[in-house]
Amino acid sequence: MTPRHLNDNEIQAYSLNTVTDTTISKHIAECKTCRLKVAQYKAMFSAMKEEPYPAFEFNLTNLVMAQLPVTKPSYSFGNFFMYLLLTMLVIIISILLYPIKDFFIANIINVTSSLLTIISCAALLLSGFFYVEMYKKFKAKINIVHFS
Amino acid sequence: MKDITENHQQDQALVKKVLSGNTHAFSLIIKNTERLVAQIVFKMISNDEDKKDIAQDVYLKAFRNLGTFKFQSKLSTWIGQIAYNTCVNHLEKKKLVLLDKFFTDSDTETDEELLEKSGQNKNELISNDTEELVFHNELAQVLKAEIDKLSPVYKTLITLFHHEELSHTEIAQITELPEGTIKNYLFRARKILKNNLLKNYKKEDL
Repeated sequence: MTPRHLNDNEIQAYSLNTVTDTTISKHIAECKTCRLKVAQYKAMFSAMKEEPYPAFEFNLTNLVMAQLPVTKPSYSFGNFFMYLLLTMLVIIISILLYPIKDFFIANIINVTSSLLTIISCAALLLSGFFYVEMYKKFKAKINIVHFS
Repeated sequence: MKDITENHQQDQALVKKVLSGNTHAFSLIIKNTERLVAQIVFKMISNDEDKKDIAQDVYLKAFRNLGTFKFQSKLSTWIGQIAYNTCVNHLEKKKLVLLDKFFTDSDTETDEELLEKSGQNKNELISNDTEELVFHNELAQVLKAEIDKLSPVYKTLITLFHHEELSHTEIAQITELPEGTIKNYLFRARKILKNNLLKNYKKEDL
């Protein structure tokens, strides 16, 4: 009985190392004809990889960039104004609460005036540092945009 | 895996910069993807002037539509898809053949039949060592010519798979063809190439 040779799909799959069926590997080990076909495909695949990469004869980047619109970078004012708004809100609330601070201290928090002053100053100081930090980050981003 | 994540992050950062108004960042996108675009354009389009126009058109389209890119694929794959579609539209406009719809005789002939036609007999196919060596040495010389004879779609698929080493999935994303079709076309194109190489290889050339 004449052994069945592998079909072209099987030969190609074996040449691409995508075959898991051991009967195919076994057949190739025993069949000179199929082994030759595998060698031919592998040689072809190897030659394909060695082909040089094509390159445009012109500077594509420059050509394209010259056609792009020159747009002003859009700054992200969102975060900056959000924190400015928050700070203003804290100040406004503090101003509104100040007239009723005695009632507040006497009935809700049992703290001395001096302690309350310290806490308020600390809160304002922290807000100030926070605001300065945000502003510095914003300036850094703007500088990057200007540089590019 | 780490490289894929890093590339993805780099792509995201670049796209974000361009969309925030940093047009200069787009030049990096062009540099990173130019090779893939060149592969597709060179294989699909034969005319040099058309290649120049199409290459620019690809990136202008990419710039205009960058806001619609959702990172469901790699940035290079997305730009490759634009390149491929631009080339296909160009060929269709010019009514040029994209794909050979019918097999030629050489596609269905067996190796033995091909060799018989070229004057070699079956035993010579089996006396393989010298033939294999010469086949390999002369292969590069004729392979490029034979690839150029393939239809644009086959040429592109062969190049993307074997030269750019893209996966079937990436090629399917670029060409918007099903993976099964990609595999089928690749098998067919390889068979055509090998058969043509066997047909053109003459023992007198040794």
